[in-house]
Amino acid sequence: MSKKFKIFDSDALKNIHKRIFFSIIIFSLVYFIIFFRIADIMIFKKSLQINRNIEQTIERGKIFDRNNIILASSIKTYSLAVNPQQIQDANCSYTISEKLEKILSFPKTKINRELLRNKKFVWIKRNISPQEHQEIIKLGEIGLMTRLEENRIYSQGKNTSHVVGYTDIDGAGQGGIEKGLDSQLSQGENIHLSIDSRLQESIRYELIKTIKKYSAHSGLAIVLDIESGEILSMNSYPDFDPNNNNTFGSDNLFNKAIQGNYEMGSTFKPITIAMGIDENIINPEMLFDVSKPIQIGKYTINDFHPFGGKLDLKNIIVKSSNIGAAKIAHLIGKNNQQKFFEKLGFYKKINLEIDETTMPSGNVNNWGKLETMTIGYGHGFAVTPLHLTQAYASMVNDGFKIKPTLLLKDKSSLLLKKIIKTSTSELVRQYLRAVILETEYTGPRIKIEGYEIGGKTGTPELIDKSGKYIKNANRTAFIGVFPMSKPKYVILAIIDDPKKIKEENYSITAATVAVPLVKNIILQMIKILGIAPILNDDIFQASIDKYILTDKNVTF
Amino acid sequence: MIKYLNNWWREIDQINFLIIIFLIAIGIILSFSINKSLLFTNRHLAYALIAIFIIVFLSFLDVKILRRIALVGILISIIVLMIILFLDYEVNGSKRWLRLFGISFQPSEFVKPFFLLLSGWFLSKGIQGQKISMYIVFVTFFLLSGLIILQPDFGMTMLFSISFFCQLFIAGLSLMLVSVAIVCLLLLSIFSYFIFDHVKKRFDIFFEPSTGTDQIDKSLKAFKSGGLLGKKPGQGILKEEIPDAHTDFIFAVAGEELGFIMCCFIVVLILILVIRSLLNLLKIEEPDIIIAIVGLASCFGLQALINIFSSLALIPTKGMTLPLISYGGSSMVSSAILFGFLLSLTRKRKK
Repeated sequence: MSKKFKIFDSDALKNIHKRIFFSIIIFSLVYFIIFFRIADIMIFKKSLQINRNIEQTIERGKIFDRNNIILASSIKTYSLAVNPQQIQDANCSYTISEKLEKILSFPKTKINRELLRNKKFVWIKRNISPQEHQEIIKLGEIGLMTRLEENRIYSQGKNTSHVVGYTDIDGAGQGGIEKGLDSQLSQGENIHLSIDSRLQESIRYELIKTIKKYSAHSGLAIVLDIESGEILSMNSYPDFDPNNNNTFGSDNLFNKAIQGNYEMGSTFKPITIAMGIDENIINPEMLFDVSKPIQIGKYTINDFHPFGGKLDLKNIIVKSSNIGAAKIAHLIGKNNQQKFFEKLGFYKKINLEIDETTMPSGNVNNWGKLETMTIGYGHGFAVTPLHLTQAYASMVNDGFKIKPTLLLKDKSSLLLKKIIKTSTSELVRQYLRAVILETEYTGPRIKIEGYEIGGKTGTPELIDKSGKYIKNANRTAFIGVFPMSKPKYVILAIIDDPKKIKEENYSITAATVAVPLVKNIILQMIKILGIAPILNDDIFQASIDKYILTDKNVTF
Repeated sequence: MIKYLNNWWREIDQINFLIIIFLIAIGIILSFSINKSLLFTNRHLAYALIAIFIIVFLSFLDVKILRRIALVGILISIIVLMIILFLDYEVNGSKRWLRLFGISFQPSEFVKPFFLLLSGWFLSKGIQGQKISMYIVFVTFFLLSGLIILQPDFGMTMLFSISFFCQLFIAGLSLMLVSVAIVCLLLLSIFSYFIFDHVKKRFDIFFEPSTGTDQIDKSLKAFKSGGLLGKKPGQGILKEEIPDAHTDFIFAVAGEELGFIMCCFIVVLILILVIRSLLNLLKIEEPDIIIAIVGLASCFGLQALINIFSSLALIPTKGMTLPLISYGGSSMVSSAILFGFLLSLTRKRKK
């Protein structure tokens, strides 16, 4: 042995008692763990991990719409599996796969391949029908086994696809509410959504009709209840069929209403005016000269319909003057702009019950003087459609922040923080109403007798993947609010890249494309939600006040 | 002939022999309840008979002859272990098996008794001063563990290494090197975790049960449903749902059908078997035999321990059988060789 150090203690073998007793003690101690463990499990019936099995037997919760219509539910179905090691040989597997081909109408070569796998458990077909199950039992093959599984059924299919989402074959939520509220659903809790599936369906119909008419690329529509924050309908097209995973393309799974970041164009002008009034920088009497385009470096700010003269705030919105909005934004300045956007929530992800909501990308370029001006009319700052909807809700509801939700709430929802002055909100309402009453193109396309609709159009240019504006490709948007005297609903519709068609005189502005769509949406809402018209504003207002008064007298 | 047997009976460790037979009998009883078709039970019976024959036969033989058998055995094993790495026969993602004449062998099972017997002799010679035998034993050890971990069979490598380590410990490994060896074993485990996917998977499942297989759940459920006295042989239901119930999770079947008391009894028997073998050492003076017995006894004790621990969810599943009880030809025969060696080595010799 080496002389430098000892590998073995040389006298150890003559004196092994110590080490043997040491080994015996260690062995016995470790073995005694077994006694404690089996006593723990078998006598005291304790074990942490067993609970998980109980969870698995809980049926996944159902998803309902606001009227108790089922949108997603689970049914128990059988699935066919096989233990290939119990299939004796190739001959045997061939006869079984021949029999299975008749029952399942699957190619027998494919089944045969599964039967010969070197595994102990292979799925042959998930979710077999009761007849198939019966016939498989009749075969009496030991190697074949059926397992009871839960299968998720979406009764409304594509209609509620983006909201409800979908699950994978093992029942785990993969998108929408199914993913966002997966923990509650997997505990067996039922979910009641704020969505009205009837409204959702008719809006989807109108949306697709418009997209098809203009051969547009895609579109979306949101209906938000300002008072409760409930989203009554949220459509994004293209959509998918949650019952059929062949339709799960990435374009189809993309929920534009909450995942898309878009420059909102002229729909930003009321926001600019609101922030100016709220900060006491501008007032309704001020006039802005919009006769000449603004030139900054190489960039020219122009109006779509040039107006030779001066405009007040109302007319800057009604005539949708870029020059006017840019001048106001310049007065307001970058700091105030950012402060106001912050209040509106444009720097935060909306905390919705669906996880897919995204952070607004906001301003991606350098935010200089030019950007401050262009952002004033909605260029150079991108938010998600739901962010815009939320911002409009605050601008018209006397200035309270609202929290959008997809869950059914009891009506007594508390308003959140006040972020805009009441007087500002009142002016914005007047201006949005004026857009409908005083415009040449927009107003006539959306007027509905008895419903005080207000709103604003927006026709930003589309941006390609590299961030450049695409010529002759528009995004047309209209955001509507009604009734203007006491706003209850915000409706946003956006159609991407409509193509020029002869019937509409080759016009692809928001007034032509998005405005009629919102009108149709409002008509559907009137029908489905049963919204009564206000026949004469003043008389109705007076009578309703009286009614409330007498009602109060009775109650107290 | 009868006189011959009488002599044998008087010389061997009778209690250990009876415990071995008893454990095999429990294995047979459980095999009836696990398998629906008699095909497996028949095979198990055949293996059990072969095993008993091997045990009796080997325990008749003299140490010198055993050594020669082991030498031949280990040479064949090394060759076969090398060959199967190049074959395409995989079961559950590793190349542990050799298929020959329609029967599958797991050569790494046979390595254990052969190597542990021989290392006793070589180590004792090494300690007495023959450097060459020291080299031989270590080179063989690293060669074998390398071949086994390449299959990959992490559990077997661990078992094999720890048994060899026990031998070194009893042989008087200096305490400094004992601690070095423990560190090496830990490093080896960490290494395997990152290199081999299936080891990683098993560990991850163990430490994060929410992603786990239901194998362990079902095993625990089976134990739980067994209670104090069990459901009586053949009456278990949950055992049918446990994958690998006849090998890795045989103890769960015992739990369900035979109950708590019987489970404790089985564990006590295994422990007695190990302790008695170690106590026998005190009467023996030849160092080569002492070291061999330590290796064989600790190998059996550890394997049983690992199997039972993993079926009780105390450690990640290892894919290791419960010696003498689990179904499986290779496991049964190798356990038989191990106990044949043990009984022969612990025989009372005439002075």
